[in-house]
Formats: sequence, C-alpha cells, structure tokens
Amino acid sequence: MNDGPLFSEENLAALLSHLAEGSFAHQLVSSASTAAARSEVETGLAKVVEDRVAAVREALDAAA
Amino acid sequence: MPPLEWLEIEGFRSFAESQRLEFSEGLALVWGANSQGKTSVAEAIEFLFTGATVRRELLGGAKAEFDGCLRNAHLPADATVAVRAGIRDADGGVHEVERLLDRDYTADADCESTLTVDGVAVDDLSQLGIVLADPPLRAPVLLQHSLRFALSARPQDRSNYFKAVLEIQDLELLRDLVEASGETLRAAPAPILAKLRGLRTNGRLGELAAKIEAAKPSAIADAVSSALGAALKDLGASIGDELGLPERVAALAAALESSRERSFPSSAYRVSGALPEAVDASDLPAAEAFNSAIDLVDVETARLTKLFEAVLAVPQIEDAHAAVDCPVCETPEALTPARIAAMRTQVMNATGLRRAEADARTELTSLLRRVQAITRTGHEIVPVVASLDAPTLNEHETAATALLGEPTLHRPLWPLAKDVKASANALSNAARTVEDAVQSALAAIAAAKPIDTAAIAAVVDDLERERRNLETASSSFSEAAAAFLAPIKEAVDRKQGTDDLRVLAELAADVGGLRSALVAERARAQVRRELERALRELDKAKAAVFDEKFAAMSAEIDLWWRLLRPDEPVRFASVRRRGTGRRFVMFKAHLLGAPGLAAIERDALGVFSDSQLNALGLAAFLARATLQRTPLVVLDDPVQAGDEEHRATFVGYVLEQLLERGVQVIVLTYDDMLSKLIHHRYEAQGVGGFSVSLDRPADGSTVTRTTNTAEMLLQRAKAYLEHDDREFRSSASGHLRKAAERIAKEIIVNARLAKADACSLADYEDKTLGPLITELTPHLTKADHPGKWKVVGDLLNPGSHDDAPPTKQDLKMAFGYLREALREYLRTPAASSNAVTAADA
Repeated sequence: MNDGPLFSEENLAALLSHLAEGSFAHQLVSSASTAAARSEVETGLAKVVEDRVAAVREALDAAA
Repeated sequence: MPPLEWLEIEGFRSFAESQRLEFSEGLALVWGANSQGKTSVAEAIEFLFTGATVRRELLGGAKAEFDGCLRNAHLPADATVAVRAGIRDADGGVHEVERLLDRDYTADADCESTLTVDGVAVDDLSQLGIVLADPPLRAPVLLQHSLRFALSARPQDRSNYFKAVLEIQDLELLRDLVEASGETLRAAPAPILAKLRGLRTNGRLGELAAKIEAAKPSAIADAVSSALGAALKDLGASIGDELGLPERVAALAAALESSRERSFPSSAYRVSGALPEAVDASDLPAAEAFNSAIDLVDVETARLTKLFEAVLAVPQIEDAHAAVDCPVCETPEALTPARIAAMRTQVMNATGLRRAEADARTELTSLLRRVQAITRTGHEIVPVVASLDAPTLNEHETAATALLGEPTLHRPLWPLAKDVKASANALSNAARTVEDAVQSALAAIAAAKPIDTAAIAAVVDDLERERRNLETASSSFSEAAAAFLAPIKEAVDRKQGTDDLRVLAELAADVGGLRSALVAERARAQVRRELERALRELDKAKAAVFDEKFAAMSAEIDLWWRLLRPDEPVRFASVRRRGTGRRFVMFKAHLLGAPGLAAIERDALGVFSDSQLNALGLAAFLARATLQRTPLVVLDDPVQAGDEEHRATFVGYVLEQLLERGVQVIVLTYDDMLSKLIHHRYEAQGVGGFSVSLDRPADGSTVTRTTNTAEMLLQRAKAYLEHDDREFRSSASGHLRKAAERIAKEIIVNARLAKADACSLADYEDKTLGPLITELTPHLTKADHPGKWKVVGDLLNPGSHDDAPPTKQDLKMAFGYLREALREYLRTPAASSNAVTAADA
C-alpha cells in the first residue's frame, strides 16, 4: 500500500451521502473524512469505537 | 503550454549519458524501432512520478527477476541514475523536478529514490498538479505490459484494477478497517469473568452464577450476596438475612478456612502479626534542649531557686531601685540592684531547666513506649511453624504430599521460618538494649545530669537494623509459604468439594471488579452489534457509490470506445460490479444485430476479439486519465500490430479529443504509418518529433529531435543501417529513398518560396527520386552536391536493385550525403520546416 492520501474527500463525501444521518456508520465515515492516511484512519476509528464503548458503558452504569 | 516542458534521462534502463527531450507542443511523438529505448522513455516518466516500475508488479513471476532492473547494466555501479523534468504548475511557473535512484531493486527489496522539486525533497508531485492514482497503475503512463493487465488479470486483480482506476479502493479499505476495529472488541473475557463462567458447570452454584451474569449492574451485588448466603447454608453455617455482603464474604472465607484447617493446618504457615514500625532516634530535640538548659544552671545555686523566688516576691525588693535590707538574714542594704538582678537570672534559668526536663522526659517516655511495643509484639510475626518440632513438621510434610500427590515446597520453608524466629529474637534483644538506654536517660534527668543522646541513637540504629532483618526474613518466608499454600488450598478444596465456593468467595471479595468487568463486556458487545449494523449500512452505501462511479466510468469508456471503433458491430456496454464488487467487476458488451433489433448483452471478455480487447484496455486507460483530469498521458504503442485499420481512428478521433481537452499527449511508437499519420494530421498544430536509437548498448540510447518529416525519415533509416541482413538493407534503402525524396522536395519548395514563387509540397506529391533530383540540382549551392545527389539516386533507385538491395556501405554513404544535405539546406532558420509547413497549410 502506498503512503499517500488514501481516503479521498470525494469518496467519503459520496459514502456519507448514502448513509443515514446520526448512525454509527455515519460517525465512522465522518471520522475517516478528517484523516489522510491509513494509520490516521485506523487511529481515528479506534478512538470513535473506544469513545462509543465508554459512552455505552456509562449509560449502562447510569441505567443502574 | 504543455505541463511537461522537458525531460532528461540519465543512466536509466537503456539510457547512459543524459538525453533531453524538449516538449514545446501539446502532442509529442517519439519514434523508435524495437529495442532502441522507446519504452525506457515511458518508464522514465513513470519512475519520475512514482519512484517505481509497475512492470515488477504486473508481470508476475519472482520479484528477484527485477534485481537491478532500473540501472543501465553497462554503467559503473556509482554512475548517476536520474530522471529530471521541467514541470509547469497551475500558475505557469516551471519547476525542476528530479528523481534520483538511491538504490536499485534487489532480489527482495524495493528500489529507493529521492524526489526533489527545485532542489527541495518532496514526497510526491501533487504541488505541481501531478496526482497519482491508486496502485498498481499509479502513473498516467500506458505501457504495453499495463494495457492488457485489466483484461488478462485474475478476476480479483481486475476488480482491484478498476477500483484503483475509480479511486474507490479506499472505501474497501475503510470497510476493512471498520470490520477490524469490531474484531478488537472480541477480546478474551476478563479473568474475573472467566472465573464466574467456570462456575456454570456446578449445578446449583452454576444457576446462581448465571443469575449474577444476567443481573442488571445495580443488582449484581445482591445476586452475589444471595449466592453467598446459599453457599454458607450448604456449608452448614447459620446466617441471618440481615447480614451484609462484606460480612457474608468474611463468613464464607472463615467457613472455608475452618473447613480446610481440618485437612491441613495452613494457619501454622501464615504470618498473622504486623511488622513492627520503624523507630528513629537520630534526632532527640527535647533531650538535646535539656542538655543545653542544664549547662546554664549551677546545680548548687539551683537548690536556692525557691528562696530566690520568695525574696523577689517581697514588694519593696521587686520595685527596688537602690540597695535594700535582706529579708532572710536582715543584713542592712545587702540586696543591691545588681544582686537582685542576679537572683532574677538564676530563677529564670531554673524555670527553663524545669520545662526542658519535662519535655525531655515526655520525648524519652514516648520512645520507650514504642520500643516496649516492639519487645512485646516482635514475636507475633513469627509463624507457628517456626516453633514446631521435627516430628510435627514431618507429619505436615506427609499430609501435604498426600494432598498434592507430589513433592511439595514444604521443606524449604523450615529454615526460612527459623530465620524469622531468630530475627524476631534479635529484634527483641535490641529493643531491650534501647529500653535500658532510655531508662538511664530518664534517671539522668532525675539527677539533673546531661543525657547521653549519642548512646541512645546508636542502640536505636541497631534496633532498626534488626527490624529490617526481620522484615527481609518475614518477606522471604511469606513468599515461599504462599507458593506452598496455594496448591494445598486448591487440593484441599478439591478434596472437600469446595473449590467452586473458593472461587465464589474470590469473586465476592471483588464484587466491584466483577460488576465493572460485566458492564465493560456488555458495552463492548453492544458496540460490536452496532458496528455490525454499521458495516451493513456501509456496504449498501459503498455499493451505491460503486454504481455511480461505474456508471461514470462506463460512459467515459464508451466515449473512447466509440472514438476508437466508430463502426464496430460490437459495442462496449458497461463496467459494473457483481455482488458487492469486492471480488468481481464485469465488462458488458452489446452485440448489435439487424437494425431495429435489441442488442444482445454478453460479457465482453467472452465475446471480444483480441483486437477489441486491446481497444477496450486503451479505452479504459483513457477513461481513467480523463476522469482523473490528468494533465498528461504517455501512450506506448497504443495501436497494436495487426490492428492497423484503427490507426486512423486513433489519430483522427482519440488524439483530437485528448488535445481538445487540453491533455498533453506523448505517443511512443515503432509504427511508421502511425507516425506519419500523426505528423500529417497535426502538422498545423505542431508535433514534437523525436527519434530514439541505440547503436551500441554500452553507449546508451540517444534521442534526436526530428523537427521535420525529412529528419524523422532519415532517423528511421538509421535504425536499420547497422544490420547486414538483406531484409534490413532493403528496409533501410526504402527509408532512405523516402528521406531523400522528402529532403529534395523541401529544398526545392524552400528555394522557390524564397523567390516568391508560390508552391507547396503537395505539388511534388507524385514525383519520384529521379525527376526530383533533376529539378533539385539547380538549387544546390555547393559544387560537389549535384554529384552526391546523383550517387544517392543511383544507390537508392528501386529499379536498380530489385533483386539485390544496396550494401551496408552503400547505404551508409547515401545516409551521409543526405544528412549533409539536411544540415546544409534545411537546418538554417531561413530553411526551417516551418516554411514548408506554412506553405502546405
């Protein structure tokens, strides 16, 4: 895989336009759209997922 | 102006010394016979843009076969290998770009190179508007090995190629990354949950464990408490419902310990006491203050302090400003003001001494208490085992071995236990020594004598050393005892059937951790389900994007297909995905029947001829280039051998369309006719003509600018001159004759135009070499030139050598004469080919 930008704004914008607003998938693509290289996207996705796990965990705790 | 203004190639593949190509026109034609270095020019541009050769990726086989493939094999190892170019940016400024090969490909490693723009190192050329496509075909350079790649590759590779062309590989990658991030949530369960699930096989306890796992976070502690209650009842313990969780945990632990103790006296191996606290007597400030105070007071005088206080309390003495009578001995005027002041000082010092005395006593008493505590409790840390006799120890060892069924770590504990006991004794002795020293100090205070603080500090240091020794010995024993007891405990639990209760006790002791682990796992599971839903949404959205992109691609391929094959009864229909498009991309063709009948759709790869597949590959490449709005395309032999009938459509429609879109086009070809058609069709706009030839591989390929058709024809002939084969000589003769005719025509037309005699090359279109030389002769300006032209005519006249082409020497002589004529008559500004061109236009 080359080291250049991989996640073009154009493609991600097109993908976003086909995804429902507010969905988790939308959030993942939004995260990728701010990154340029694979490593940045990986880091970004990991952060989104980690944040989501923390939020769900907090909600489960709060529901208790 | 074209974006690629010039190109220099040095040491790269077939090139040795630096060769330069100047591109002043939007269309350039590089002609070269096979194996002369033509493809090296295309690959040099690819290397400049990408720092690699796609040939290595596409041709399969072992990558080791490309070891050292970029450097001209005839050059020394330290020779420079570089491709340089002048590239115009969006504002019209031209920048010098250089790609220097630092290390060629090796058997197992990629090549390395340095790219600079105006001397500054860069990663890519995006700042100059050169944006690369996704791999594998990143550069807008169509090479022979890449033309058919998409069509001949495996379905997966073809799919990847078109996803690369459409720049949609990143969507696949994004999907894969999302999927992978979901996998990270499938981590192994936390150890505490693994323990909980280990209870599932225990009937009654398993049900309780299942209830704990299913409980809401707020109810987990209650579920654990209930399980503890049930477990305690099973052990025969009587507990009240009001007993809280901590008490139940303690009760279960105690019940289990009690139960285990019956099988093995583990308590004898436990250290129940706490290690004595450290004592520090390096600084005894009150004792030191006492020593200072006592220095100020004379002991004998101090006994009169109370008398002095009584005298000083007499009113007339308290306020006396002159000598007064002594109230004790009644001596007249015995108490002078100086004597009264001296009594006051004595009283004050004695008072300070009393305070210091009290403080020192408090300080020493506190120290004494701490040391007495050590004396009293130092032995509590000694485990029972240290005091057992040998027969009892042997009994323990036998019991432990029977429980484990193998040798135990029991025997090494003995000396460690004795060390603890010995250290405790030494500590007690040291403590008693400190006690004695402190008692002596207290006695000194009582006797109004100085305290020996240094002696106290010394014995307290000894005490601390012994305390640390005990700490070390106890720690060693505890560690070894824990290693010994852990399997004993499990073995006893197994034997008694209480091992699950032990696990329950452990879980209950960390109910906070259990709750936290359960909540964390539930959160991960929920997010994993969300990610799976997200993946399904992404797949749908991705498919929609693919369809849009494929539709755009189809339209663009169709456009180029129609330009290449306007009258074909087979039409390109579409490129589309099969399923998700992850593995398969299909090309659809329409087979046109009789007018009025619907076209029949088939897979293009199945119905297209070889020639049609080439055209489809070219159409796909051009579609990609135009969809990417690339400012430059390089086409290496775009019209295949055996496909000559489509030269005209390529020249007339495809090149025209590219030039109209403002794309700089560099065509490389061996095909004379294609070359001729391009020169003729675009003569008015201007065609940058170059010829590539390779006389001796060690010298490298050379590039010659062929400013006009005559020069180009001469260069072509040159490519055949080194061969003695009959066919080559025949070809060389034909090319030289065409070059001679062209040179003669241009000299004649230029000469007539110079005399304002309107004419054009078209006027001489049908004339052959003999009549042309006759008409040329009057225009020749050097005395020996008419003779040389006659020789050219004799050597190259086809009628004179139908059966035997000229010899190599004859051909070289004719080539030399014609080159001289070209230099003499057509390379001066006044006789430039532009004059001819303008006249023809």
